[in-house]
Amino acid sequence: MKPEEIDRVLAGESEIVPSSGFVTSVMATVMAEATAPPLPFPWKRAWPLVAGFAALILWLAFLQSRSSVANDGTDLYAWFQVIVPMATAWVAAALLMTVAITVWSLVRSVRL
Amino acid sequence: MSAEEDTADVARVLAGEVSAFEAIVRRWQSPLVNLAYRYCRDRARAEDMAQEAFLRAYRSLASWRKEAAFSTWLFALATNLYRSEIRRLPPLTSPFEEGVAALDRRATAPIIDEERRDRVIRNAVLALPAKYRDALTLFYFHGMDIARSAASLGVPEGTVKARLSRGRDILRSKLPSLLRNP
Repeated sequence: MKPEEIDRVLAGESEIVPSSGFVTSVMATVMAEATAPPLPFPWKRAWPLVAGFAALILWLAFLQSRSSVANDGTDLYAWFQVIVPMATAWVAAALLMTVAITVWSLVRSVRL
Repeated sequence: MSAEEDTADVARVLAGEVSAFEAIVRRWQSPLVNLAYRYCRDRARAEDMAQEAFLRAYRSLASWRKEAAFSTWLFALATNLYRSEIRRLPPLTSPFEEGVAALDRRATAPIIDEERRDRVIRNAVLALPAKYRDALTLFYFHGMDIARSAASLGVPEGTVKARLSRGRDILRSKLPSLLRNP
């Protein structure tokens, strides 16, 4: 087959005309979108996460205050004793959050 | 279609005059519905897809930076949407190899109606791998304009040329008897 034959077939396609109510239908959807109130923030679902995050921050702040006390001297071992559990806590929290989000996503996808 | 009209209407919509969006819809309804139709070959679904494209355009109108023409931005947005829609719910076509085999068998008949043959070739484009299908669809939709096709697809012009060439090769190799000149 010649290249111009493909061009003729694919470029020579006749156009379809949108139905008469198309513009009205699009504008009705757009108007509904424009006049709809903004979605409220889902506090009911978000508060456990917010509370958990706040607790984590407070706990870390507590550990930090302990570390400042420990850092008064130059005892490196004492400093490690504080920093290692802190790092472990961060990693554990991140892992827990990842697992929780993965499970939540899987549950949501199964429902959809 | 005037770029100035588009710019003025977009400014009015962004200023809060939502009804100004109607002029944009009237101006671009035919191109957007026709582009959707080339992706799905179903008139009702094409209108649904075009409606969704207009709604998304309305939502993200503020993101049009005016560096490119409004039409370029609108076609890129619509093309992205149509490609995702087709990926989510493919049009009712047979798998490429299966459809082509059936078509070639029919094509061995001495006389094949030209209109039907053309329809079969257009449907065969839909059964191509997505990147070749997109290149061919946009290229012929934009009146064989490589630059506009590349802008709609968001890829370099060279990539479009390569995909067009490969897409045509696949069509030619898979539909030899059907595409033979009578």
